Amino acid sequence: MGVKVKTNTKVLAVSLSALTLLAAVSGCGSTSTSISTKQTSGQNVTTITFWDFLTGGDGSTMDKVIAEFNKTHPTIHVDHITQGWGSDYATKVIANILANKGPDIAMAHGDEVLRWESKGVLDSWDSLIASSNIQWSDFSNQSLQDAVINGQHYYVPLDVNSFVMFYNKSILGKDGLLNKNGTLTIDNYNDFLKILTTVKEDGSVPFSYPENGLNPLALWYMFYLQMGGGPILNSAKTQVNFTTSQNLPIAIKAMQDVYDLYNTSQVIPTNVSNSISLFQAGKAAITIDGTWNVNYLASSMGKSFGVTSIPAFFGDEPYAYANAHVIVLPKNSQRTPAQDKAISVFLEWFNSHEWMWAQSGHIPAVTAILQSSQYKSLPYQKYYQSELKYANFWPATSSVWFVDDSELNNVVQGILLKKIPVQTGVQQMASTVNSQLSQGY
Amino acid sequence: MLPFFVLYTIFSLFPILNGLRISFFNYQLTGQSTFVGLQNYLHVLRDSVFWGSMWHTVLYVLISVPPLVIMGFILAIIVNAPIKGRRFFQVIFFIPNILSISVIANLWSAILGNYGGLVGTVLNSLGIHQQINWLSSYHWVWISLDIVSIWWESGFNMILYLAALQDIPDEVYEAAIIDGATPWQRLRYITIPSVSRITILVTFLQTVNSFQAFAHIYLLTQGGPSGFTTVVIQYIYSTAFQNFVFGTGAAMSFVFLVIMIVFSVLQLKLLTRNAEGGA
Repeated sequence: MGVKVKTNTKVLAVSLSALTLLAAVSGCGSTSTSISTKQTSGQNVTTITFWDFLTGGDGSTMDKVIAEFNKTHPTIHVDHITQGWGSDYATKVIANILANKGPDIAMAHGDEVLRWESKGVLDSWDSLIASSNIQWSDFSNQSLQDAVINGQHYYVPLDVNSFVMFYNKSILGKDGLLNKNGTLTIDNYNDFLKILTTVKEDGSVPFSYPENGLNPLALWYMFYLQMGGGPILNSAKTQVNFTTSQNLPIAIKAMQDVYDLYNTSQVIPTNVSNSISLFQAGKAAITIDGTWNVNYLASSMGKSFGVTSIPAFFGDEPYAYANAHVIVLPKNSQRTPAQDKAISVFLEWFNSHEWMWAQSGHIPAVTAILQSSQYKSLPYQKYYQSELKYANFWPATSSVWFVDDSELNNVVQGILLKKIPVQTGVQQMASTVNSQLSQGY
Repeated sequence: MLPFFVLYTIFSLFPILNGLRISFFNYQLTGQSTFVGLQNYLHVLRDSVFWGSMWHTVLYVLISVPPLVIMGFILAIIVNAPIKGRRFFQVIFFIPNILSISVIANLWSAILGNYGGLVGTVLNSLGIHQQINWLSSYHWVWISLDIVSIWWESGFNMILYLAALQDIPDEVYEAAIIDGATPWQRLRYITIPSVSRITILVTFLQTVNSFQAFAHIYLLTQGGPSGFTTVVIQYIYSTAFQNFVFGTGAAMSFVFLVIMIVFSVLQLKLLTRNAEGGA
């Protein structure tokens, strides 16, 4: 028995070391392949695959919209698959398109389409849209701002999704910080700070906000623009523009004001790992995040939920960071004319039913929808619809994508965690982006 | 031998050589790639984020290999002892090793997470109300990652050591006991020298393994806070597959390969010399 145990253990040991060596030699990578089968189930049913990255609160709204479309269109089936978010999503979609396993249509952020197009993975929409009932003039200018590349349209916009301010009416009401009509108004940065300090003294979390990821960078961007900072990249998009003699003091002041919220007035607690969860749990008075949270937060928080547009913290123009959810057309030699037709039918239907999609919280891209009774009857959208006018996107480049630039985010987090002084940090942000732009990143 | 060689050529040799070729190009996924000579390598050599990530990788090797080797040895001693339920302990100690990386990451996120993680809640109930950010503060993050690695990987080293321990003839210990050797003396003068060759193997394998660490760190910290735990593989991954700069990404891989080879050769020389001297 003892001998047998010994031998077994030895065999196991030898096999394990062999496996490790093999893994070490071969790079030990795990690959996951997502397979989208394009099949027609039954006669005359055309299937189109649609990938998106809606892992947030708006995902369930998209599920409902697609289900409604499939229900009302017996000859078309939209196979809707939600993949991961951010750079990993882009990696997955682009790799699949190159391997000819891509979806028929895919969602993207408006400001990353140029980057995708530069990899040669997208078709232009123009001929398909020309043969449909969709006009480019149906859409708001803001939603279309990055659509045209070399004279061709490379995306169809679904919405403008902007950052808005969410607040907890119970916490602020208790401290007497709401208007007579029970809403929140913030006059400027100092007023904001005063409100947050009052909440802090009362023991609640004043401002639930992360120190990593996109959010701190977006807050800096909004402060910077509201203070009168110019475009953050030069017109050729080869270098940053926020370090010119005119813009640099503004960029530093904007970052200092962001820094102070974390470290001086300390109205943002340290290491909030999920700012939306903390707010949703009713523990925080205010958070700033995207419109994709509106329906999700409203339905889970009930009466304490409040939302308003980004205030003018500085100056008179309440510029807000925004983006667009758009649909791109992956290059696909196997797409059939029937599928092309099905795609136009889907998009036409989506455009005329965009108020359904707007239930998630986003501002519709089709301007007529903004005037529709269905859209106007939505409970919260009126509080921030005005933001469309002040929506500011990141500059679209063929290399840097500001929404998920981890090296840039790392620098910002380093500033907020006091590892890098504010002034040095802003210079470091500039050199990081410049290096990425010069790399053809 | 031929089938192996064919598969090895297709799936290992060809990608490696193609990677080497790509590292000399401004490589485009579609369209024209242009030959840029050593430009990608020069960029890598000047890239402070690359060297920062490289240092994080070396740091991880330094802090993870010794405890993983020692822990593997200790666990092997425990499960090799004539105790009741040793089989049970063997399984318990080894099981974390077979879990997938995403399971490990989820589990430890729940244990170490901020505001409501298991450890935080337990400390809270013991009267320690300070919020400790195990996975997102500069002070704790590497220690936390090290603990996760020890929990996850020690079992594998335990199996290797166990095989070695079972090879030591019982007569040697019996003779030592008759001669009056204490348990410590038996460990110091019989057990440790007898498994020295396995120690070399375990240390070497563990070093290679720790150099390649990426997934559990990425899943637990995303390389944060502020890039403090970004290891070199993560940086290569994000350069090549998230930012699509394949030429530079490939160049980074080969710089990393050279560093690893140098490190491994030095380590093997050092270890074998020590083992020969000590045996």
